[in-house]
Amino acid sequence: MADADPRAHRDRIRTGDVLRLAERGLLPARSVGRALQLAGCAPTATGWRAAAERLLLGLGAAMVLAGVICVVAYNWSSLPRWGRFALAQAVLLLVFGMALLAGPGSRHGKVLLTVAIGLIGPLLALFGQTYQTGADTFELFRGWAALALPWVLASCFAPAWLLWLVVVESALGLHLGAFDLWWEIWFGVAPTWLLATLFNLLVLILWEYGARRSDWLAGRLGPRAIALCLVAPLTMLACASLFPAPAPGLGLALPAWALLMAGGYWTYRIRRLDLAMLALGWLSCTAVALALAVRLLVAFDAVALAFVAGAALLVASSAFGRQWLKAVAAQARATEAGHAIEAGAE
Amino acid sequence: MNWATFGRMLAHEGLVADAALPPRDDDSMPGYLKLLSGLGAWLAALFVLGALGTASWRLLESAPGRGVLGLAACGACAFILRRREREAGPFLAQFLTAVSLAGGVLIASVALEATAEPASLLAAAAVVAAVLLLANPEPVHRLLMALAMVGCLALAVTQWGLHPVACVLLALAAAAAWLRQARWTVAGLGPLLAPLGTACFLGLVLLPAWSPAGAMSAVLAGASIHGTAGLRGLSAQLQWLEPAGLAVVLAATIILVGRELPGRANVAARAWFAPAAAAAIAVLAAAAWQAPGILACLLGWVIGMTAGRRLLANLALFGLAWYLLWLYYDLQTSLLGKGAALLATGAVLLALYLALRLARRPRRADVREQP
Repeated sequence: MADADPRAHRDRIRTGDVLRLAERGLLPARSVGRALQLAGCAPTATGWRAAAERLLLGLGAAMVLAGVICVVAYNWSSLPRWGRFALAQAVLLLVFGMALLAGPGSRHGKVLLTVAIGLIGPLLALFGQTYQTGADTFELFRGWAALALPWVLASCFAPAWLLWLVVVESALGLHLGAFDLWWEIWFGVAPTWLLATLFNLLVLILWEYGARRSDWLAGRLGPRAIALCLVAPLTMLACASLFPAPAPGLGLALPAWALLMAGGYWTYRIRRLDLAMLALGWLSCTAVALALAVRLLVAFDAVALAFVAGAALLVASSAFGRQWLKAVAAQARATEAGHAIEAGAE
Repeated sequence: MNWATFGRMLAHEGLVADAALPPRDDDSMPGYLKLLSGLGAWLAALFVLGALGTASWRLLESAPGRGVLGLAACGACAFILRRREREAGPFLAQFLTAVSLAGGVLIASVALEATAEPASLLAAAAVVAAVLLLANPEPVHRLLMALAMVGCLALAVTQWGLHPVACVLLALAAAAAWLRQARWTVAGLGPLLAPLGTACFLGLVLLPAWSPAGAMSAVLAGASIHGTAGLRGLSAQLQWLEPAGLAVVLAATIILVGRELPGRANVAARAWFAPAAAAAIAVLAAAAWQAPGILACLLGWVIGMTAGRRLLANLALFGLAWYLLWLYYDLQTSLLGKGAALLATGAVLLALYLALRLARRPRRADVREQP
């Protein structure tokens, strides 16, 4: 399945396109406003009314909410313990109630349920602040993830799952940081960062699998965000492993990175096409190649040459990457057009 | 809607002579590819500048040497871009922008050695930015220079205790630039005035957040440190100008935009619209007197929507969120005072919403007349 046609956005008439007509003398200045309305770039009289109503309602509600927050904050210190909990829980219940009213299947309902999932964290933070039990921060995030899971499962909404993943990863990361476990070697061979990478890889695989089975997971933002969190740290570790460093287990970074690049190429170039993922992989390869070039030249004490070589590598990489991705996109469009013609013929 | 359909619509309304419009500029590269190319270009420029810096570090130690290198860098980039027949690709454009920016910083460092007085330094930086804005035609470079120029001028004016004046001037400049974009585009000034208009727009929505009443007190304290007691009095006297001036510009913009809308459904063309809009904005300004940034962001939204620049309209809303966050942490007013101001503003906005909804309902006489 190919990524969205990059030229699809060209069907949208942009303000710049209209102004270029005026610049060329094809459209008089007094007609530009009407042309922008016809193009859908600027609102008509009816559109202005609708936009003004939406703005006034949204802004009015936001100002009232901001005012209430300020007044509550002013009185916060004088509120008793139960008053604070009542307020925090009332907000959470109100948002959850609105989600139920809107309907869990509707878009508004899903958004409100996601907001309710987000409000669990501050409630737990208030609990931790009020009852100073000496618990660590990761325990807050762990509790947040556990309590939010039923709502996340019920939401069937990709942003809710992304939010939950952020909470889970924060809990894991804070746990590792609290006990200083980042450079620990597990089972005699696997460093902690490698296990974290495998965890993120598993999440990505599960998400892509779910995307093929459920429409609500079919958007590409989720997998791309997870891929970014997977590739970026591993790329940095692979670059660091090229330099002398005492960190244990870092020798596995480069082979792990190479395997990830190979797997990503097979998945997002051969099995299915995703230009954004390929661009991310290309960027990662450029970073590692740059680190390698700098490492070799610095080893020969050629600092100035390292700068020049780095610049040349970036220029070449940018030119190659751009041409390669454009060729891949063109090939995908040609393949899709061919399939469409065949389907029409049948 | 595609380009051919748009051409037919324009011809049908008599706006163009020929429905067959010339093809649009080719822009098939996705946005994220342009971003990656640009980032690569800036990194490459960093490496090249590092290599040149290593080779010419003796020149960089002296002010004249830095000035010469800076002028050479800026001049070379402007020359290369002006000589090209076609627009430069994203990599080359960003590479030359980064090098030109480095040259501008070298020139500004010479000015820094020449004077330590903040207002003079800001004025010198604004002049350098203005010259580079005219010389180098690359759009991102022009935007950066416009931001630098407008930012330096706004800061210089604020240094003199005239923050409200800066806010109102930016509002007028942004409105003039974007509401008349068709005229200056036809005059061929588009590539120059678009970045200036954007810089004024960003100044309009961000400057109030930079200096609510809390920062004004810092300005007053600074004035007392420099011994200009007259400046303190002037600053205190001019505080009313920010909400009042922004309200006047907002009301004038809404009335002007409303009058220019075509169509029989346009209620803004009726005689009662202008006084009603003015009265509504006056009430809103009274409610938001302690938070004039709300008026600035509302004006930004109206300007962005009128000019067909949804990005600017969304930036105005983002600026409003930023302003509210800043207002929350401002120490000059109590949370209760801020809460009351926000509640009053919210109430006025919701009342205006209800008034618009009521005005949309058909009158009883109209309903009775229907068969």
